[in-house]
Amino acid sequence: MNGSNSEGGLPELLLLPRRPGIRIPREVRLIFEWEEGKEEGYVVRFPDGTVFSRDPLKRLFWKHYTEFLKRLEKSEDESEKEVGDSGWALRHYLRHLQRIGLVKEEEVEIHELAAHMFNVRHMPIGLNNIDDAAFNRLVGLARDGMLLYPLIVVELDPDMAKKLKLLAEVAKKYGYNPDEVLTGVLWRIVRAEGDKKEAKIVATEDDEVYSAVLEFCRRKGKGRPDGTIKYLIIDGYQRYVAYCYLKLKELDSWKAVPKVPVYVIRSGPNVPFVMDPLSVILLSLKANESQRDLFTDERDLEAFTRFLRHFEGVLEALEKLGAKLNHIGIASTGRVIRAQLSEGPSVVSEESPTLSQLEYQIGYIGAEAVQPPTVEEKEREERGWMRREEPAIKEAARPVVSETQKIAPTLSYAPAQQQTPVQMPMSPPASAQPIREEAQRSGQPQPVQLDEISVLSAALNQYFARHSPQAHYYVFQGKGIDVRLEYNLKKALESSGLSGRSLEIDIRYTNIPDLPVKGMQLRARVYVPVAWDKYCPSCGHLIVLSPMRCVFCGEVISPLPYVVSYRPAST
Amino acid sequence: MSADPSDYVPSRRPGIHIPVEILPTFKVEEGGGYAVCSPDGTVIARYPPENVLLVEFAGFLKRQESDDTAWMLERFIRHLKAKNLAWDEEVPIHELAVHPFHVRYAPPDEDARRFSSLVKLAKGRLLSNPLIVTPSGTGGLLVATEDDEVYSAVLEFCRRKGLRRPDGRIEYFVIDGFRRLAAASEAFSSDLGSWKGVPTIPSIVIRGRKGVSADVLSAAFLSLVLNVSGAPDLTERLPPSLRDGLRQLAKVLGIQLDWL
Repeated sequence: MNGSNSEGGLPELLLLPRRPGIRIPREVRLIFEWEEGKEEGYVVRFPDGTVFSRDPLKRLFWKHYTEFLKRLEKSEDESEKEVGDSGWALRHYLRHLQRIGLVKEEEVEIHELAAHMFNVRHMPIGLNNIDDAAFNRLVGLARDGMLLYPLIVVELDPDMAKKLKLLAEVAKKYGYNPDEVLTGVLWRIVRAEGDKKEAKIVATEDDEVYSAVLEFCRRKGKGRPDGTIKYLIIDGYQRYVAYCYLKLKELDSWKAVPKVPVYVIRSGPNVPFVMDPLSVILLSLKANESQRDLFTDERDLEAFTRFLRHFEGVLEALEKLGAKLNHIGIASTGRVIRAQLSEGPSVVSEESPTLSQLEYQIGYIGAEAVQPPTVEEKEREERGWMRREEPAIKEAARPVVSETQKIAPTLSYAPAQQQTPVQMPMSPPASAQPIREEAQRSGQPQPVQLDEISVLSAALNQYFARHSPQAHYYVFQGKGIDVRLEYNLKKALESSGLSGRSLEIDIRYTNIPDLPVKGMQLRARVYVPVAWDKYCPSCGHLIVLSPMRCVFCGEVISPLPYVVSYRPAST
Repeated sequence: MSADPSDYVPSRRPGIHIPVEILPTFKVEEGGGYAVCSPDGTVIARYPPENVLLVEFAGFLKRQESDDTAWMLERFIRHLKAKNLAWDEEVPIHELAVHPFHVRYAPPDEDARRFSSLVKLAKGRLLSNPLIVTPSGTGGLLVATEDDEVYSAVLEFCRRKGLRRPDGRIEYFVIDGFRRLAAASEAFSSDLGSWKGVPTIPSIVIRGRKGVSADVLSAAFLSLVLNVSGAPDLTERLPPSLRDGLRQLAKVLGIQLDWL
């Protein structure tokens, strides 16, 4: 890989996840190499030599695009010549593909989509960790019906599924959780299934989108979809996630499984081109640039660069491709990114590019939507990538979790007859499974651990005087001994008679200092709503809102949403 | 005139200052709709509710309540196309100018590096999304002068090819895509020798129901929503008086313009 990142050595763990808290290990990074010779093209391989893909020049999507341009230039038709001269030739090419049946416009069900691993947008987005202002604005647009351009997706054919399966196998070979790696790459919580001949990528029931669809189908008595991912998003990853975010909050109002308008680029043996990694990168870059000038945005450019720098040799390959195709756009892309690499940050950030706690933007999202990073995610980051084998001491220290507690209380899809919401877990660490499964097998609700309540009570006593926890909170078994407790905010808002919008301009979340409990030294965090721009004149910290009353309008808010987590200070 | 920059409307051409004294004001009219007035109170344009595109959009949204897709704007444009209120068109480059209420105000060369990357895209023939434009509705009153780089390039091309000289009328205002237009203009103007025809730009033309042009509030609204996800502070560059006027207008009309 060129640029400053090659000399300084790549960090041990690479980060290009679309899920907060998930890291893509160094061992599965991809290396691009151009191959001259009989069948010119490029190969993409893992560091151990395993070939991820090998695509001949003649089959590359971008090769076919430049041939289209040449045909236009040679055309007898003056108007076609003009098209060939237009800055919008890419648009004309996609239309051309639509006319000959290689691109189709349709609406696909929400659970059939995942991000393409070479989509240059890779902002980590967790559905319970929405901390990006731009994303919040996108959610606002989606909520108001203001999205305009359909997504650009490619069919996930068996060949691509095999490649993704290979990625998972290489991760597994080095002791990483293959499903987590795939989840970090594709955003959906998935696993690879089938053998090399019939590989496919399937959403697990932990996946929020798929489980919501399953729940909807269960309620309506419809057939259960099999969870197979059918399309990979080349352009529109954030729009898709924003849409998912909205739809998951509104399961009760679904009239059918939500659909997303897309342009599908067909794939497979009957298609004359392949959506190879370089072509996907280029198309994703271009679609992002032209639509919203994103490439001209420093932060996005840096984000793209951060993404691309994890692929060794990709810039050389881009420039080589540009030279081979005599295509100024490709070559200049390589040069622009190379320039950014030499000017940009010299160290690849190990942290996900999340804003600080104080920077949370609620924007268009109701207060219920904006959650700080979960503690398990934070601590996963602190401890680095979780190998599948965890120290035994941590296993032993885990509290037993009851049946009703075992599922995360994040986005709730409560069956009508159920009193407590069904909770959908975020990708749990593989190491947590034995305990979860044990709890499931027992089928008997286990009492909530006293210590957990103690921590919660101490937090409430210390920071929320005279406020006592009522119903609507659940215990979620996090990683190791971490326990997260949180209110079901939706329920809380409903019971308080306030809508999310009433709250959104008034509160943000932050963490407040460590929490001593009954003489125990705990390292604890409590996420609570705080007043915007209101600081303590003494210590300068943000002021925590009264749990019972909005500081702006005096409206009583009860119960109050918050998140508590803790662990012994010694760990 | 004070030298305070806040006294000027942001200009899309570096070095040109537009005094705030010329800013229009907005007046809600009885029975709905609104009027755009000059500072001395003269009515420049009047938009009854049936001519306000956003009213049409609001009605469309209500009718589509059962269909909860987030891509309503896309459907709305398709709906407008079906009603012949919108259409796809390849517009000759010299017939385009930027809509006064397009929220992108920064002169393209204010940040040369940023702008040049868009120019490279245009040169590489890698732009994919069309502009959103509306007819200028000026009846040909707005005409490019021969000093205009784009128009003069077109004139030169026509002279070389022996083609008829276009009259320079501005036919369309760009609601979304100002920088893409500027980048394409830059790319084309610097490469006149390679032209095979007068360059055209794919555009979605939207017009009001009865008037020729979309109303200004709707144009501003569309421009905002099409730009909002990528850049949060676009409206900061709008002069406060204009911003406040639009906000007030939107409120009175009962339209939630949260982005303002």
